[in-house]
Amino acid sequence: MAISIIDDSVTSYKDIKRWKDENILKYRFSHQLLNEFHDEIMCAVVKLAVKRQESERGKAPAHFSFFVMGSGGRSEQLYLSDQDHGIVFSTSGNHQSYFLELGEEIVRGLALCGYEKCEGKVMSDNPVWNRSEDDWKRQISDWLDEEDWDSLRHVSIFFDARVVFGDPELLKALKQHLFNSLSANPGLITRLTDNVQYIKKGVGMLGNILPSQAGKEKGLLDFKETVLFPFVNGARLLAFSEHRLETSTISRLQSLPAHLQQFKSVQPLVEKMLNYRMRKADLSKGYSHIHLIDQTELSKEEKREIKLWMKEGTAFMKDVTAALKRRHRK
Amino acid sequence: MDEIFLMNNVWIIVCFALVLLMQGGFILLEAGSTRMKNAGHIAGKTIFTVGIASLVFWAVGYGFIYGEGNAFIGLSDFFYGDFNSVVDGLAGSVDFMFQLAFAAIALTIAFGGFAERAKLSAYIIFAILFSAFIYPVVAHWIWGDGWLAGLGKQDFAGSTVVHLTGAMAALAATIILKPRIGKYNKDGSSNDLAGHNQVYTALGVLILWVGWFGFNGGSTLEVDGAFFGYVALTTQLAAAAGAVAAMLIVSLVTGKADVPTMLNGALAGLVAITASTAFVAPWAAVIIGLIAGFIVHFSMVFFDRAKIDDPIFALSVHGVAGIWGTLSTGFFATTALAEMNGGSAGLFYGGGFTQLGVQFIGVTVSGLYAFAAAFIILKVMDKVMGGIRVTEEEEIIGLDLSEHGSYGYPENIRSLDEQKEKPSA
Repeated sequence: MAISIIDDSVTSYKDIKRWKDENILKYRFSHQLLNEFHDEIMCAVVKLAVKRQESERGKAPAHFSFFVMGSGGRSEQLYLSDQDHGIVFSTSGNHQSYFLELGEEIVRGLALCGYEKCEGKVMSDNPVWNRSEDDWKRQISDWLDEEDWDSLRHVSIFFDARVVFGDPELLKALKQHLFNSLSANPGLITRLTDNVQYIKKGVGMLGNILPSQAGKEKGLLDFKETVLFPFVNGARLLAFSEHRLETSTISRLQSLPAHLQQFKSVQPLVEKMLNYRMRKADLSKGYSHIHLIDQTELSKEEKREIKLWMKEGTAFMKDVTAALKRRHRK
Repeated sequence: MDEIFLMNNVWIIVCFALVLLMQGGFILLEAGSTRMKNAGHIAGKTIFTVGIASLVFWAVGYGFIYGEGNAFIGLSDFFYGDFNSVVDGLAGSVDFMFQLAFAAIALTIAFGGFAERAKLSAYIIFAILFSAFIYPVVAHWIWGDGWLAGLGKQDFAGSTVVHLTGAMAALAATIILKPRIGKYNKDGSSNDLAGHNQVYTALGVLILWVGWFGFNGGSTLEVDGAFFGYVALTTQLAAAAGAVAAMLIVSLVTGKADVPTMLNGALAGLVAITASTAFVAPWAAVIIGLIAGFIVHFSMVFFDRAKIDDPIFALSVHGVAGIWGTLSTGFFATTALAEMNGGSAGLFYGGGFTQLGVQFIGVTVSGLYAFAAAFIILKVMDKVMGGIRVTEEEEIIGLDLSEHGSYGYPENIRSLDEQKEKPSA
């Protein structure tokens, strides 16, 4: 099954939104198709935003590419998703104001099409995430030099970037710059590893599932943070170490060389978890609840399996950490 | 019933309560000296670990210290429960309670080295192991039937037994845990991670100061002769001198009348006089306090430069001042007071180097044992537990939330979502 292609002649974000709402449920059985569909929608929004920007400010003054990060970058979005994106443009003259305006238009368009704005402002209307190629390289170097928790978290966020509109080579050059820096200072992999060691506890000492204890999320288990994140973070670390450009957790694991078979082998499990999460996603309460699972609705068998996944996630992260620390000792 | 016997016991149980209340002083001192995001954790873990220390002391701690055994360790009286024995003129249970409060204080001092970055599980395991295998061993050597007691080591209320033992464990912990995030810059310079409430810290010091009259005064173990009054006098003078000296030296050296240093000076005076309180003249108590106040400042600077991050200054206040206090009796113990309370007169009272030598051996061996045992235990824990430090993310969020799920000051602190700009989405 292939995804439906949106007609290039759409003239409003409302049209894109309508088309999205009419079609998205078709892809509820395939994680991969759902994400291809999201790409199609986001690409349509960016095309329309570019058209509008061109009519206001003229043609783009430089070559550029628009990339998505976070779950979008990793092709791990559910029906509802938020915005995490940026822009890189080729370095020739000072064109940031043009691209920031374009970024604002894209943010507006995506929001109208149902993609919530990112609370952390990781969006292309933010100058941190919208720069020329040279500026981006400087920024990446600065983040790595800084080596503190925030800056390394930014590097991890950036590393999930994937182009959905424009020239992929621009982003590739940035990632190559990142790999060169990591090769020059292998200890950075250890620091990047330290940066993602936190795993939200999902299972108690007595083997009980630990949902949120209060508030609107009371009784709900955060599947993304407790189950998926160890695999997502571990696969990203391996991709840093192996200098891989793939961005989805599954493709990162698939791309590992044979001597890392131990880690490669969890790929079917991750696929199973992603599909399980998609089946369980509750659309009724909006994006804030999309990753939450009501544990009272889980069967005994499901609970057992989820607990097993958590255990395997913790072990996976521990093994990845040990392997990378051995390999990239300062 | 013999009135003196009754009064002795009433006095010591009151002193037990005073020493236990010192934990309240530590709660305020530690919470005030650290950042807001860890306040609830620091306060809560103190109460919780007093609980652990009490159970372990009851099960094995008291037996290891005071049981029949050898020069290294006691080996009887486990799971203490005598209701009719008499020890040193006190009901056994009263003596037990008083000693228990000391063991809990030593543990709380050790945890100063854990502050703001250790896992809660590390506190729990270390509380058990410290209370069973570190504190009781040193306490047995000096206060039980141990080899240092045999040499005539003078440590009236525990400069070595309680303070130095706790501080050496804190040193081992702070070395293994490494500095807190943000304490040192890449160029090696250090930042001042200021505590969040100096009023708490000052109140904590006051509570400790008051509690110290139970700590030192109670160590007379009797009311007969009302010698506790003299002990209170030397204690008060040393604390006062410590506060004055520290404020003076920090003002002279840095040009700033630094409040935390002055507070540490008062505590250093108290720690130092703890060993010598029953052995020295009032003028000597003032000198001991003054020197403690001076050295605590230089010690704080030394550890900071040595990149040993000591958030609550346990190493300077309890370690360095504890060493000084222990040695001070070797200089200042008077002939009359040494005759009355054990050991020999100090160097300045014609005792030569004998007592000073004993004090030196005692402090060196006890300190080394406490450090080595704590270091080995913590290293093994680090290995077995997959690290004893929380993750970077948890440390930044703060231990209130990451270890306990709620903030000490919920209305005054940003929510987790606001703090984490954007974790990998």
